[in-house]
Amino acid sequence: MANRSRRVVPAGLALVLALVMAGCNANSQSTEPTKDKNTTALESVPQGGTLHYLSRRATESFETAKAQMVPTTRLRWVHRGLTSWQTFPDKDTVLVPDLATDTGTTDDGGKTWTFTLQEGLKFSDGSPITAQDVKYGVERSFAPMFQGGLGYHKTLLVGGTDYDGPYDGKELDSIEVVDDHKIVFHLTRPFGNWPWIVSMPAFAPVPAAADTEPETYGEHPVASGPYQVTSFRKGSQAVLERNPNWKADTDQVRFAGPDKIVLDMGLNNDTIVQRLIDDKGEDKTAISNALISPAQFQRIESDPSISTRMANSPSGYFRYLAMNVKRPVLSDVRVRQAINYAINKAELQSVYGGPKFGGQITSTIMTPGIPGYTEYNLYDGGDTGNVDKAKKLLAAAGVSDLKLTLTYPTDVSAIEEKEAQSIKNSLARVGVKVELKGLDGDTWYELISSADGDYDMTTNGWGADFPSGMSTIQPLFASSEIGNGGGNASNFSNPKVDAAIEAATAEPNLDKAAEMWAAIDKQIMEDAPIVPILVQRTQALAGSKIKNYFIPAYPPFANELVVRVDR
Amino acid sequence: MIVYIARRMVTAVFMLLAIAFVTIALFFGASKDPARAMCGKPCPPETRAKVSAYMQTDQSAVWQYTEFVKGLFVGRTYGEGAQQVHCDAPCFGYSFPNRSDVTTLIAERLPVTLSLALGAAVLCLVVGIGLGALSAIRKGGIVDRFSTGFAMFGLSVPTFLVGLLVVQVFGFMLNALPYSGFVSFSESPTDWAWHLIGPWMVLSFILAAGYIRVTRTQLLNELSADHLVAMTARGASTRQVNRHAVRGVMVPVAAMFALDVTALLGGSVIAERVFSLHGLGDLLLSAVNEADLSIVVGVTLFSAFLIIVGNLIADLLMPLLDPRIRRA
Repeated sequence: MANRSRRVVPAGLALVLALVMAGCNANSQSTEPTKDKNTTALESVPQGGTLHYLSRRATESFETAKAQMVPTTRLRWVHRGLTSWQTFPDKDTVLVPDLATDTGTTDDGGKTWTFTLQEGLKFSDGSPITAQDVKYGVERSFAPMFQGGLGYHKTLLVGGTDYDGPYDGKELDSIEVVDDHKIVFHLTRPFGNWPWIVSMPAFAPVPAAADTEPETYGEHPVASGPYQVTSFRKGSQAVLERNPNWKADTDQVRFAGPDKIVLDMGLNNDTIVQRLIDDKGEDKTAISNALISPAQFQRIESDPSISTRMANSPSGYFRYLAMNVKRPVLSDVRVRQAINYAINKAELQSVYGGPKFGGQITSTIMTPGIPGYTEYNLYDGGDTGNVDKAKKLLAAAGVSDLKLTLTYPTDVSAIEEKEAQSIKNSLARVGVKVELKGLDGDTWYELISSADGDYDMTTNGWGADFPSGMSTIQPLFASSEIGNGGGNASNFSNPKVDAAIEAATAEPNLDKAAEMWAAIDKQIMEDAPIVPILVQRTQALAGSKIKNYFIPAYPPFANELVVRVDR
Repeated sequence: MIVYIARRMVTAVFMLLAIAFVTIALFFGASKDPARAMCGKPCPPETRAKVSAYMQTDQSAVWQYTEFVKGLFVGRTYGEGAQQVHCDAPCFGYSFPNRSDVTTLIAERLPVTLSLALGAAVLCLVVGIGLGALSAIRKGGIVDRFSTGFAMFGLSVPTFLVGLLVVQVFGFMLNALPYSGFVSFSESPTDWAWHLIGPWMVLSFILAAGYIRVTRTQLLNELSADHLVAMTARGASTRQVNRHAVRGVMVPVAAMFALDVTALLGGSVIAERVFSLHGLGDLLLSAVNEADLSIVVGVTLFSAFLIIVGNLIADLLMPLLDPRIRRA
């Protein structure tokens, strides 16, 4: 579903606050890139070997302009960005400089951002990496032919909405190249998370001279990262080998363990999982993006030689029930609060595979791992719900014989159907009749993302594109996200919340912003437009010779840049 | 004869145009918006409108159809200025998610589908006719009972189940066959066949069932037909009698075979998916998921074209196989 991104749940709140803030203060003055790779939990393994990547996607490419991948994935074997993410098995993810010497500075409260590139960096073709190359890379992402990537910058950069890319000779003036190493971004409004935005794929440098065939550039790009593409067969296989011009001491996020990486594309998901379970031959040195189905958990768990190779996310995606507040029956906050009390979250948790593999019950919007995540529960009915309290609230609202429709997509997995059925059962306990309306995924999404959609409730999932309330709360609850394909499925509109979201979005001090998002989280839940259900876990398997394979608190994917091959 | 072929070809063209129209109309009837899939994240309405305009998916189904037909003769151009994308005539559309024109995509995928289809067709013909004929000749014997059961099983189990079983048993448990992948014939004929044995087995197992039954029934009918009984009575050898009987079996088998082969050439979605083969079936399925209209129309038309041609060839072959049809 277009609407699912990622998000994560770490464990401790104190840890979250302490760590995240230390790492991503946008105003921190630049320091020399420090080497902080030797976290105790990461095993030190000699460099070398061949890493195999088994991808279920046939459309793998190293094109940055239309990519939606987070900075810790395989795209970044080849491409660096202005900033990047450092992940840990036991600590929260932090933003660190990548090509830049710091994570960006602003003198005007977040509207203008300056980055300085490290000296002496070179592309795989030997040419120097300059600010102009970064600018050109960003400009390409505006070309209509490259639609489809993470495009937060497209509406934020001045003139971005009217810009169509560099191919007809036009430049985007709001990206100012001061000299070879200094680049300044002029934004339409203050945006505190800009340092995170410049970690996204479009901010990888592309030398204009090499971009002679834009359509296939992603098959043979000029590399800034530790590997270059030496062979590319579309839809079938890519081979990466070391980029001799990459220097480890300029890069704090890439371990560049293996000498060679073979990426096999378009494989059957179940076949990949089976191969990783079997762990034979080259598959011993393989990782993948295959999804493990609940049916396979038992087999994996019962065999320690397999279960020890499985990475399980401490956090994950946000799963919730949205209530359409525009519907007369749901316009009374007491009814929505009653539904919050009525839902049996423990049953939903078991529908999703239980606490170990399915996910953790939640009562907040932000998930662990997102700065500002604070545990609280405004409607604490225990894990199984509080029927009496729900009934009392319904009575107070003067509601009886309530009938509601619940819509959900039917083509994602069978779980969504079971989930809807469980919600129906929960609400039957308090005398609310629910009619289930399963729809084809596209029809469902059109319905819940249009302002006048005919539905009372829908289940939904969400994951952030970067760790901030900006990427979780804003897309789901700002009134600007109602209709027109927006993610505000509750049609929730509260001017005070909108104002608070705007202020938190602008705040360049991310510590302070985190506190603001925490307050907004609670403010929204006071209006109860949703029932938070679960923080859904994700799992991934690796071959027995793979080291440093773990899923951090955020994002809910293994960091593919730190993986090493044991020989 | 030439007039007959010409008439059939003209009908075929109109039929294809009608199929294109229905495909486009159905596609636009569903609430899929190709622009949403290509819009990126976040996707504000302005971006979506821009993408839609560039891909030309903001136009009506009738407009799409007119442009599609026009594109067949004069080609198509998407976008403006330096962003232009050309698709030369005959243009079957341009796939934006794949950044390629549909003709090229079909041509890229065809070798996989062709290898899969031809191998499966040959295997199912050999197994199907062989078992069918043996069953008929020794009716009620062990071979007959085995192949009747085999055919029943093949007709009743779903393809994906057989596919998964083959992968599981021969791929993972016995480690005897590769579980996925494709090697082109020109690269290595041995590896090519080696990688395809699994999918061939699956497809021919499913298809052979029909041939076993048709061959057996038809051969039994023929053998008890008056002219063959007469032949036997006049002292013709079994070999001679069988040779005559086989002729009668050829007609229905050829008609069935032409249809099966053309359907296989249109792509076998399930076998391709299970064995991670990237042929036309896989192309079509991904396109449906990604709301990629151009590919859906292109592949549908291509498959329809193959089926029409296949039928035509079967119809033309009939008179050669059976003189009675020639006279009629």
